Amino acid sequence: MIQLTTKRIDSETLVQQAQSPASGAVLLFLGVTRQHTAGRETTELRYEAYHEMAERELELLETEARQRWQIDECFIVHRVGKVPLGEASVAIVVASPHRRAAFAAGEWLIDTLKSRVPIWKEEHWADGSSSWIHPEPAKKLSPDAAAANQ
Amino acid sequence: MKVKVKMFAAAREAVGAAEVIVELAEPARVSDLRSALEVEYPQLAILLSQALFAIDAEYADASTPIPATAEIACIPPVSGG
Repeated sequence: MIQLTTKRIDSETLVQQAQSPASGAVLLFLGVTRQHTAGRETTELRYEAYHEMAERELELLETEARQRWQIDECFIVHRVGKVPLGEASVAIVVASPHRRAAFAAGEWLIDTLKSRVPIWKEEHWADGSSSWIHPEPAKKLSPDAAAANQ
Repeated sequence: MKVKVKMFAAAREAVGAAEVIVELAEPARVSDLRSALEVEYPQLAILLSQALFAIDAEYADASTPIPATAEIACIPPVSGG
């Protein structure tokens, strides 16, 4: 199950829904909005999504995780809009017969979500300014390679 | 042909609109769209060099042809999570 929501993420309910006698391991990952980033203070974060595509990409992530690991349940919930400090912006729950698959799938899901799903974060700083976060692509291209890629 | 391109986050703010219309000679590929946007919106240059494009909500390559009636989006580097 995947979901984009403007509401507070109820991780306890998600974990309860994922729990069953088939699954010896239930893993919960929460991404939580953090007060300090590289020495700057944040007052709140806002998330914007390309809604249709983000849902589609999240569904692809769930499908791929289910192909790669033995998974009984997989929930990915991402919040959009304003997220106050200390609240979850993303929750991932993986239930599996054994813990190794749950840990591996959970880590892969959050890493891949962060690199692929069209959702953007805007930091609102304590000094009143704000900035969209657009991390530089991990693989830095040389000018020639970048030109060939265009 | 005229194509509508959805814009998000800093790219949306740089062009001042959630959607822009770009004129492209047919047949056009994603690389042609990128070049046309660079000319039209010089303030987008840095983000465009890092952005990907999506056609009908699916990531496209530089060489992907642009259909006349598709939903096109400019996807600057993502930062969800």
